Amino acid sequence: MTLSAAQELLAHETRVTFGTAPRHLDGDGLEPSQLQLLGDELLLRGRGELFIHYRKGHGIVVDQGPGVEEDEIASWLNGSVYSGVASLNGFLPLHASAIAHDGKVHAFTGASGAGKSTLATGLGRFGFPLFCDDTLLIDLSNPDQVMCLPGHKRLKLTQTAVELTGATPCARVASFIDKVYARPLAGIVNEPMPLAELAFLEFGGSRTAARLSAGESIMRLEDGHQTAQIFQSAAQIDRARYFAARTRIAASARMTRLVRLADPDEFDANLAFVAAHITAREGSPA
Amino acid sequence: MTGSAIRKIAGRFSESAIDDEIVLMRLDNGDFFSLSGTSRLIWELIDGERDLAQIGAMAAAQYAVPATTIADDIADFVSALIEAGLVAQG
Repeated sequence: MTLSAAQELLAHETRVTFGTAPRHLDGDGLEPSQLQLLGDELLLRGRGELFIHYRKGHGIVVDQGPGVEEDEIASWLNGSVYSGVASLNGFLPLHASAIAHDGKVHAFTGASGAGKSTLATGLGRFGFPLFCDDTLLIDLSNPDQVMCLPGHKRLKLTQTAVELTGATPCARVASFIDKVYARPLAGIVNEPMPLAELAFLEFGGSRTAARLSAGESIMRLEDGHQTAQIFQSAAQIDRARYFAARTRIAASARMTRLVRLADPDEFDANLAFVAAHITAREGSPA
Repeated sequence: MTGSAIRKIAGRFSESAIDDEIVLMRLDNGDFFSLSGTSRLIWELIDGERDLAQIGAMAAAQYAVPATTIADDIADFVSALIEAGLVAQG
């Protein structure tokens, strides 16, 4: 599968129509904010009477009940549904934001609140275009190279992050999500690229960028975030295959433990540190 | 723990070599193990036919030291592998 074919596949499978969606896939009703995967299908129930159904080869159907806001629909489509559809089509989603440099992807992952989107946004000040926010899709179909598919182009930031980064805020993400959309500061990337580095973000007492061992990298890639859980459910992947996927990623790129200072007054210096780390690796092997 | 061959328990784990490290994962419980340096060497010497003494002798030769110098360490490590459910003896 060529990479352009991968983008076409994803675009085809994520096309959205409005209509009637089932209320369950296996006889059991869904609770609010619950996602169910069964075979080649995905069914999500939103916060109220919103149901989003996907079946492989048939795209996404949104069943928008009374009182459901458009913003909520977009939030689910860009989040869990996107990860689920990608997983059902053979891509591995990582909970990460990423920028591009020198034709390669530098991604940032970590727990919620670790500053993934904020960092990716701030690096735009140094000219790094946005590759994706929140979800990074990994394409493992090429045995010779691990590739990344460009993703969502609208950053989702807290108000604090908007102020720190100087980004231009747009609409609120949704009434129940305390974040706003923002435009990338240095443009976007629309082509697939290989993964250069995956940095695991932390806050600590000093700024460091330490290379992780293979073992620790593979362990850290097995995070407990829902993105990983969706993938494992969708791909019906057993432990061995999931382990193999994670080892391929760990072997293909540099895995880094990236520690920054938590004090907001140190944000600019944090950015400069990360930017210098990225550019210092230009031309160096993974 | 001498005399009987040491063997890896087939189907119990997945294994991947990255750079100078071998990473193992037990398939039944997801436990991870990282082997490098001497531990990696010993793991690679376990072939289902060599016993502990033979593995020790080969490892000692690799490091150009008397086998008695590292015999206890190798025995301890192989015991740990047995306890981890990755290898068996006999």
